[in-house]
Amino acid sequence: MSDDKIMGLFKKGKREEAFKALYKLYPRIEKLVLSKGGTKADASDVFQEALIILYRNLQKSDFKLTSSFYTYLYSVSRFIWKDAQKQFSKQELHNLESEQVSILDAVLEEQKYRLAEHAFRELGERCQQLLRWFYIKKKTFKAIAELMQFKSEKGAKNQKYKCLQKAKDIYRTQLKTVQS
Amino acid sequence: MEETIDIINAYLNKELTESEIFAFEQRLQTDSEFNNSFEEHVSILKGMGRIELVKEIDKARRAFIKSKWLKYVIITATVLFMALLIWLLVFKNENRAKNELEESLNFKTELTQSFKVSTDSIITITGEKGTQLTINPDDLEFDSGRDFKGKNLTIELMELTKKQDLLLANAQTISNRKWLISGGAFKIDIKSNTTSLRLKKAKLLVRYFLRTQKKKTC
Repeated sequence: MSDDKIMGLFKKGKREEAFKALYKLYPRIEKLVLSKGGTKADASDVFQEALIILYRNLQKSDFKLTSSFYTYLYSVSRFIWKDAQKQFSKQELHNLESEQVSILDAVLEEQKYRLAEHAFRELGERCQQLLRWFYIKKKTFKAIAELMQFKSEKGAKNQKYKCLQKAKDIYRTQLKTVQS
Repeated sequence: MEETIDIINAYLNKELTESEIFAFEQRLQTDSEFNNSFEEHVSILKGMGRIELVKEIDKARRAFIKSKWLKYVIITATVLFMALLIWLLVFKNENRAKNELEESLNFKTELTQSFKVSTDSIITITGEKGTQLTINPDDLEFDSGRDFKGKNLTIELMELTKKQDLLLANAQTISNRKWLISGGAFKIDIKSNTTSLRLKKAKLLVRYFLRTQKKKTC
């Protein structure tokens, strides 16, 4: 499938189909990671992160893909792997071009979101469901109160707040462990 | 704290008025604690969003692996099918070659010589290429097994002693793309009017290939 067609899928909101089409690029990314001493599982992980970063950037109104999907995913994957291996020297970081800086920036941002994802996954099933309904499905507290059998809208709102705070607490602890 | 989250949600959902947005963005610049709360909140939301993304990417990955295997299966099946097809074609061709030889030997071509003979004595005929036939009329019978008692016979002889003859009669024997070396071939039809006759069992018809001086019997 051509890049234009894949871009069309993203624009139509057919994310999963677009990812499927992009997976044809995976063997070349796998080769890259394997050649840099990674395993197949590492390669699969790196490619997943690269796809997420690509998707997030496509969501941004000021982002413009200046190269092919392959070139973009390749450089993102290279940065992800190199950063994971802590192989960037100060000199290298200093000499990055602006485009590369923005890629590295996106890679580092996404690492934070990945920690947040893990924090979220540590919540109980009910908390996860409540937050998903509110933030992703955009359900009202009234609807959530009915679905989860809260006595009132207020009860649902309080529970949502508690769940969110719990997720943030876990996230903060994880962030500290990573940074220390 | 809860109010902070409410206003962040309102901002992210684009529910604020223009002046509220301005105030919000101002506060992000000046109030670092507020800024941290905002960043943290966005991180949690993005982290939550990853769950769906990871699920979709995993589905895409599995579909990709499945299609890869499917491709291998299709390729293998195609190769096997082609091999079977080729084998069948070759096998059929071999059979056809055999059939063609048989057919061509049944065809009357310009190479067929016709002799009309009477049956009152031992018949001896010599073909153009030197094949000599000696037939005792008493040894002939009809295909049904009845003895032949007629007075006249037609003997048709096809002599194929050279490669050209074999080619012309389309009767060359080919094996493994090479001609089989052979002393030649011949075919004899003995007829009374239009009814075919045959030799009784154990009666030998002797032919001489003068060209090669080889004696062949059948």
